[in-house]
Amino acid sequence: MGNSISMAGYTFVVEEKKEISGEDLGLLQEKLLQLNWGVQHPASGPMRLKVWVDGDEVVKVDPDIGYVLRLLEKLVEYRTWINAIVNVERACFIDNFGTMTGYSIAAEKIAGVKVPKKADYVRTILCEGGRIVSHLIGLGSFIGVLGVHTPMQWALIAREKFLDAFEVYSGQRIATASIIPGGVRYEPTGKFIEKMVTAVDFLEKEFIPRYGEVFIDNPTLKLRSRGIGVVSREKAIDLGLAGPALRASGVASDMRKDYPYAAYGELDFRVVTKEEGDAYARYLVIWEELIESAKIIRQAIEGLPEGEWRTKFPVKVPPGEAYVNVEWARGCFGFHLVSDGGTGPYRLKMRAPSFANLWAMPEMMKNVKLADVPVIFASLYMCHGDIDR
Amino acid sequence: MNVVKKVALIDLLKGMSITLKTMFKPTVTVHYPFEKVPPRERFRGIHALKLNPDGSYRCEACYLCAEMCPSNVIDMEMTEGKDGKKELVDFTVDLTRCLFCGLCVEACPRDAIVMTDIYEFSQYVVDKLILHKEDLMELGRYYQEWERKRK
Repeated sequence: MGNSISMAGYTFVVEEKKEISGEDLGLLQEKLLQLNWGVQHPASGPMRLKVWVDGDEVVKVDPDIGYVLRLLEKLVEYRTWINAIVNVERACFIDNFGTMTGYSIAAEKIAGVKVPKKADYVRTILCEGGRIVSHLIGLGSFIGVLGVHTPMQWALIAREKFLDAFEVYSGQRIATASIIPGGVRYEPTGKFIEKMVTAVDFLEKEFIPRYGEVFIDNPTLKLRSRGIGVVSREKAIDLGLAGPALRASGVASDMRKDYPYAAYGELDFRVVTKEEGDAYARYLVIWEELIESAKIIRQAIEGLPEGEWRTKFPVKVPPGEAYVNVEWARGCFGFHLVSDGGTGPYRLKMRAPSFANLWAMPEMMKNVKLADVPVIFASLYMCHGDIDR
Repeated sequence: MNVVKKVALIDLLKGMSITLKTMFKPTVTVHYPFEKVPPRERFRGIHALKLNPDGSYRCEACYLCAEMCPSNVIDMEMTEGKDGKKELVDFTVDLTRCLFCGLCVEACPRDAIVMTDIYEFSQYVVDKLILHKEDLMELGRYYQEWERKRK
């Protein structure tokens, strides 16, 4: 050895050269490489994907979750019927109204409480507001994973108007804690309605015409997302996809239409479906649902009845159980609530749509290019708080 | 057509016209520590104990707010006073755990516990985040003044 290290006085004991067998190197022998996509990745959020790649091609994906586990289902068991909403809303508080509505309807079913009509309408307005807020973030972050972060800021401008309305209604912008078993907590004042109408006006007249070209007719976006992560209609049902991802595969499944709750039975709206089933179709479904939600809010504001917005909810609820599905922003959210006759829930099981989408993802990510992993991930429209709970 | 478009810089002009238009629109962002947005009417800030006109507290130590609290923030201590009435010894609100859901305010039958519009209350010492009876009554005086102004 004539290199500089040996000349500097160091001595190395070089073992006899062996033939290296592939098994010693594990996956490397098959030219497979395991990559960690996340936890620090800007698009992944608090979760890790173990991605095995062969060159540029993804062989296998294994999601590793649990970074934002808060044991919400267990925490609810230590709460009373009313104040359990603060734990339920934290399943994902981008759209917290949907989860609170689902829990409240389940509790009302067990207790046999009938909610006033005004509360139903206010719930509908808030739920659709929450859906728009969530969809705007979904759209922004979808373009965000492609490396362009400015559209996210545009989406946040529109979102800000809705948060303003929520703040007028409940006092807080995000963790509103405004829907409880027995109705809604606050009276929908004229100022709140006014703010909501301004927000919807901004969305329909400013945001959609002005940014629609960038968000929808974007050649880069089409190039990256068309024909990627295709799920056929049959496969989507087999995998148990939920929400916009399911509707993009041509399945017109929407809890608001199938099993109407709150005031959805009395309102006129369309279930957005697409036939292609690729990432771009899922993205388009989210975009068109924005327009539908804006229409629902307008109708609900017009039809807002007079009267009480809250009834008394009993302290102790008779034993029984209820299962309620609500169409949350990210899909069908199920609540299985059990009462043993006490002052609080005995057990609450939350069926999360993002969790269903997450476990369909490894199937969809087989034999795609590594660069498509973030696109498929973002198009499934998952929330990490919802996955872990 | 494409060549004409490129030579006449139509796309560039289109973009610049939008830039010019937005230059004169009001900004969306707020430079927070220097500019502040006033809180809404229903804003839920830190707690306060409301006072009677003669300066005594309204709280009767019924524990309803403590029952209602989702994160066990509120604790109180009471004794029997001289005239046989309940008397508060201490009333603590642990702000380190509080969610600011406002359910305690809703539960109070005497309108004694209220929420002010204060949202800047960070401290260097954890103990200072635990409000005692005197702090809450001080905040109550602030709240009543603020309420009078609002009317």
